[in-house]
Amino acid sequence: MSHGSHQDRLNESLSALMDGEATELELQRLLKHGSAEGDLAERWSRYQLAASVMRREQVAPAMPGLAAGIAAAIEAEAPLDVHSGDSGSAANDGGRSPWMRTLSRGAVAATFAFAAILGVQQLSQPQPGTAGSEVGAPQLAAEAPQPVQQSAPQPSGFYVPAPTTRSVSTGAPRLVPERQPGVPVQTVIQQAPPAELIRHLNRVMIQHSQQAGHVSTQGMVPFARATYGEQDGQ
Amino acid sequence: MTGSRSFPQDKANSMLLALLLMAPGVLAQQEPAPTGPVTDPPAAAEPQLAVPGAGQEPRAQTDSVEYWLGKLSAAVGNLEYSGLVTFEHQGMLETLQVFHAVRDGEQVERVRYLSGEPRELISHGTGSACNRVVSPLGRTNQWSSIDGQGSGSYHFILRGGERIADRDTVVIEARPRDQHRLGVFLNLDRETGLPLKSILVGAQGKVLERYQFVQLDLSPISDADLQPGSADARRIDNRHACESAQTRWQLGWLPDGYQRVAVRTLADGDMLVFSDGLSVFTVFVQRLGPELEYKGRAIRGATVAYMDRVQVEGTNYTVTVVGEIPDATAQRLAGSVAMEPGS
Repeated sequence: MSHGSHQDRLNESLSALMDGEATELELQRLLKHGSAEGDLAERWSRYQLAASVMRREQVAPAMPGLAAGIAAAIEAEAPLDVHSGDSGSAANDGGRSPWMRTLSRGAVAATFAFAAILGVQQLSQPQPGTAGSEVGAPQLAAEAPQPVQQSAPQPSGFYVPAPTTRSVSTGAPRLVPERQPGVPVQTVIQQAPPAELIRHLNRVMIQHSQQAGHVSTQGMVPFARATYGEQDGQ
Repeated sequence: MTGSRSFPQDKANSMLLALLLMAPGVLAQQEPAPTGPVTDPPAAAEPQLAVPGAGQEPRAQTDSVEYWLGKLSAAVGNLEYSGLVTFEHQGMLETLQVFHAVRDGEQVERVRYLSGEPRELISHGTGSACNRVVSPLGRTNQWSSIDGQGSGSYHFILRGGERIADRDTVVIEARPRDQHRLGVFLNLDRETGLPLKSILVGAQGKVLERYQFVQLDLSPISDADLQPGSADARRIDNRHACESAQTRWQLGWLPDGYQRVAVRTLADGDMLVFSDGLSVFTVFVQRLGPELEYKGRAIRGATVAYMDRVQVEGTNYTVTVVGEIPDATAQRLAGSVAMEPGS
């Protein structure tokens, strides 16, 4: 701890925590400095946001409510917060709406990225995660400084349960209509696919997988595929 | 029907193997510099024990791709096993419990999803019925043309070893020779040849799907383990699955190496199954309502479905090509569906 830049060490620890690899010592260090250094908290917040975008989590619907909730919680805790002096409360007032604005703008950017990618012809290689982070994250990173001023009450600020891998199954296949000349991509995609169509797709995918189970040498892999979307595939 | 079922089961498997090895000379020794269009997925980037090199002596048996693919075919059909498996497709991770048993010469398979919605399926009868379709007689015609061009559909490369589910495995890469199929990485158990990991790779080396054991049990499966755990388990009877029914439909274009392995008649149309031994796609031609006149693709993990229409004598048919194939291939196939002339 005596060697190396103090700030670098903190950043390193923060990255480690982000990756779930922080040691007990690092955690203590972060908790200790987190409440004192706004920069650190801000960085954490940005990391989380960027990670969310990269994981393709829907930042849009979830975050504004969450941010409001956090803001309310901070409001309630404010009297206990010895650090939030004049500047802190000023940031509270001025900072909240840009925070919200930034978030929703980022979310719109991310959503747009999905839509744009869905419209692209080369569909076997869509990488919404990457694109989302390219479009969404830098912007968020650039504009995020405002909000975090107010997030004085750490350790609670550090506790963000962030699952890294989603284990939710998606029943419905992702649909991509053939692009028609003259029809804007957006309008085509926004239409909800007819239930009849999804049922048909589920049915043929299941029938295909069942059949593939005994003409290929892949063992039971096709059977693993045959069970997705089963609820709809009757 | 009963006659075909009396064929030994591994005959079907060996036929598939033969399909895989259409160009037996194509082995690791001929591997070009690793600058191909398919880059290694992360799993294969590990230290390689058996790096293919130029000018090596004929290898020991265990170093040949044929040996391992032969072992694979035998294991997939004849081995009893159970285990826990992770199944990953485009950011989703599912966990499954699988049972594989052989009863009266037929495979019985049970799959239970341990994550997400409770799902379960039990399949009976896989294996024996396909003999007739992939028959040795059909083989010569099918393959002579391909051999004439001097290329199989895949380039097989041994990629060294890796430890999966606490067992030593051999990694085999099947690298497609054209853009009409996906690449496959298979990890075969050194002892049994069972695939313990299988990865489907698209263009640019993107991993589309990964199926991987985390635990393998090779002890015989009890009948109790093959009983459904829930009332709504889906049951699949595959005894009639490989029948080759009559169909008026044909493909105007078929990538090299694929052949038709089954035709089934559905209530509202026909279902044609094609395989190159490793990958499978199915063509559905159905008379469906106008609400299903849709042109476009749907993607789920490595599986793509491309929908199109074909009009014959004033009647609209919905064409759906489903398979673990590149979407451009699916699109082209769907566009090539036509009714046989004179029918």
